Amino acid sequence: MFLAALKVLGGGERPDDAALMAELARGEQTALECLYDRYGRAVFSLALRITQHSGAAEEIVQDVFLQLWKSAPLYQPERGRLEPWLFTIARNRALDHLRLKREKQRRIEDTLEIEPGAVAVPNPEAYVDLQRRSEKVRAVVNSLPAEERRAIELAFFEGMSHSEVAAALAKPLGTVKSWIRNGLIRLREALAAEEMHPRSLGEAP
Amino acid sequence: MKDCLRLKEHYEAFVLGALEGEERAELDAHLARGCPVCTPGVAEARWVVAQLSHAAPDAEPPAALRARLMQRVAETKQLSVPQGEMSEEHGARFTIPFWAWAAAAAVVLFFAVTLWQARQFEEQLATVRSDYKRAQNEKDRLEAQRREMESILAVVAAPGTREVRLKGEGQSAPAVKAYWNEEQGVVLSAQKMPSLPTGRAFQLWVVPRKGNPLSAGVFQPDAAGNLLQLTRVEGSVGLKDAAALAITEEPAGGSPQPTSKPAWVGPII
Repeated sequence: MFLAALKVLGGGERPDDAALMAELARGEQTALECLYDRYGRAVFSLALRITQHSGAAEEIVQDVFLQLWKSAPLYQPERGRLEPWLFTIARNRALDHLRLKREKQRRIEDTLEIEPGAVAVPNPEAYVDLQRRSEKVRAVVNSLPAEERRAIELAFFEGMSHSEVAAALAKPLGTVKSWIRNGLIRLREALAAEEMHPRSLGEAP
Repeated sequence: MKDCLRLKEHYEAFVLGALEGEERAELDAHLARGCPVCTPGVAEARWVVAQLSHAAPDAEPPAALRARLMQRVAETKQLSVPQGEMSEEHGARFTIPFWAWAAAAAVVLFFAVTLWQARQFEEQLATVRSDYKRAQNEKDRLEAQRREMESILAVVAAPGTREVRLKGEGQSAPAVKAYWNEEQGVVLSAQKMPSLPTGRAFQLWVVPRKGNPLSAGVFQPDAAGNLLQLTRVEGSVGLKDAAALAITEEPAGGSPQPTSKPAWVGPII
């Protein structure tokens, strides 16, 4: 069945996330292998960056993909939504792990409560290639002033609140708030600009 | 809406988990009530924030992880789709049970019958209304007739009323009786009156001892030739000044003075 799906998409082209999710919903384990090969590394990198512990990161990756496997039949496969959903779930689990480690039980969100639809790609039809987008994000983050970047990293990878970031950087709360806001607006705009050039996964050489 | 515009700039911080205090509580409340502006706004912010994941230093997961994951996958059952959420994509066909068709048909029939009944009722109501109107007109007519009869009887029975007998010209002409009351008018009564050509009427005249005749009203017998009518004498001429009553045939509207020979004449003695 999976091979059939591959054939439909044409020789040499990689099946998109929606096609793989449809296969996954039918219980095709090979579809999960494909998705793991596509996103496993990025999810692992994220989990490792947050937890700073490879065992924990492996555990999180396994949990996230197992969750994807289990809930695939409930998933409404909409193109492009899978990746941010995987990242969101992975980050929340990794931050939970951090908090447990720090014996802080406060949870921001229940990780299982986030539905794929709660992560909306602004323009799913013009979803740029994973590799290109990854490079773009790094470029934008690296272009930010050092303190601004540090504030965003503390919030994103350490799960710190505005006031925690302000305390960590010994900066006024208002300053930290606008740093984080400005950085994210720049990221959003850069990605939006990138998506002015629509392409599909199939066009990749 | 105004709040949403203000909250908009906090969507990313909210998704990061960095937002605190009142702003966070406010946005939480908006999302809890499914705010149509903030819900999609936050969903899009989740995407932007998730992109920060790419800023993590690239790290290669151990090869064993993939095998371990697939082992777990093989052992783990997928969640089943709840019945209500079955979509066409999963090959489930939604069939409408017989009772639903029957119920739908019953509803349609009910409305059809109700509509038909309403139309019927409306028609009946229209009939009743026109019947009522006709009855009302009839009642008004009878009422007017009754009043006329009452005044006729009042004239005939009044103390000062003088009965005048008018004799017709020719053998076949019936006699006309007139009851003249100076205050209330003249009542004319006759049977088998000759029919008039269209556009013609009879006119009653008071013929005074001196001067020209005075009109005392225009009248027409009914189709059967019966006459019973109250008319009024124009001008102030009393019984003592009158010599006779006369009836002539005139144009339908009446004439100021007689234009034909009297057909009936009754002297006042």
